[in-house]
Amino acid sequence: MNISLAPEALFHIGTFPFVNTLPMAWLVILILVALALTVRGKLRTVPRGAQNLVEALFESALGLMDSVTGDRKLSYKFFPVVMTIFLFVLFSNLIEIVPGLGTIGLWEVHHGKEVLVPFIRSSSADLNVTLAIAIVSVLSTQILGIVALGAFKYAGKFLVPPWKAPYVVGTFVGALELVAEAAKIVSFSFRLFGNIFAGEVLLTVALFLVPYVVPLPFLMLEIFVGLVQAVVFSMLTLVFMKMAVTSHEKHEVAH
Amino acid sequence: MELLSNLGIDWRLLIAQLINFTILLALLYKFLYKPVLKLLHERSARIEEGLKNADAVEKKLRETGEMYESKLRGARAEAQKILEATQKEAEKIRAELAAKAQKEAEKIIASGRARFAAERDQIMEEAEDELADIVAHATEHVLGGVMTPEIDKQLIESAVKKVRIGRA
Repeated sequence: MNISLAPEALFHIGTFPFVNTLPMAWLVILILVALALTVRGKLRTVPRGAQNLVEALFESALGLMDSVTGDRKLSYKFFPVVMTIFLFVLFSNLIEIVPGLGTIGLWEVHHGKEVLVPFIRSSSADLNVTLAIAIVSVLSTQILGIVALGAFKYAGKFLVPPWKAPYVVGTFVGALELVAEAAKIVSFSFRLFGNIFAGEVLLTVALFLVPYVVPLPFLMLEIFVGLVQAVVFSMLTLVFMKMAVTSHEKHEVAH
Repeated sequence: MELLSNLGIDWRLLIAQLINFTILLALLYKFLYKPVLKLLHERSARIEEGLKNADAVEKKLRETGEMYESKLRGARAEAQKILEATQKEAEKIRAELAAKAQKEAEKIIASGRARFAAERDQIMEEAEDELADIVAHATEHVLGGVMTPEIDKQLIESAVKKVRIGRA
């Protein structure tokens, strides 16, 4: 049994490591786009079949988003990014419950040792993927904030001159918030990576120790964790977006 | 950098995954979110419109009912008025006709009476003349030749006068 924090390279193209999470991400994208195309092809005013499912998901998501944003228009604006994060993270997470995890792969020699490079590795168990999603989330949050408030006012959230209202405290808090924005990328990516990577290790170890029945509860747990992490990632993105488009003045008045 | 590579972070992979995710976002936006959200929006707009229309129709129905009711009431009142006027008119005409008939009848009766009186007078006169002749003849027979026609005539006339005066 070989456990690696980094995704394992199946082979190299030049120096580019073709890691096992790359085809997994493609697979997820393929599945989602195929689903989207299937639903889109049969869109009708009176819904039928898969369209019902998609509509129910979207409607409930919009309802949940409304409870955060308090405005349907804002919900529509945030919807694409939040929904895509939810779907991609959910499907990525669920890869780990596919049979063959940690068992089917290529035997390769690394550092003089023969190790198994598995084909199946949840793309959420790759920091590159989680970091990429976190960057998209935080970047789109900044962009939405700038679009909603204007570049100057948005920058004013972080750069508070020490001679203005809350004085030095405001400056300090602004600087902290700037750090927090960067920290979001780290917390987003490591939270998801940690959860799913740990889940994969748990499942692999459970399978290795007792191959029958015992891994079953862990599989169910991992389905649950996968769903929860997808919800957490997308809801946090939503909350950060809402905070970004809310100006400081309004915020203070509300309190 | 050592830490990053230990964690498996590789900028080339990171960029690849960034592109992957962005493509997914774009595709889902184009093929799923936009059409489905548009559909949802259209449907809710349609439902809202339908409800509004239903309300409007109901209101219109109520208004029409009220209008019908009031028109009906008006028509009834009008009919009543016309009926009353007609009755009054009929009453008037009846009264006029009755009065006219009465007058006519009175006129006919009056003219009948007048004619009767005239005829009676004439008959009386004729009878008196005839009576005078008869009396004259009878007296001639009784008196024989004593009497001249002149005396006779004088006698008769005076007798007749007396009779007339007596009757009058």
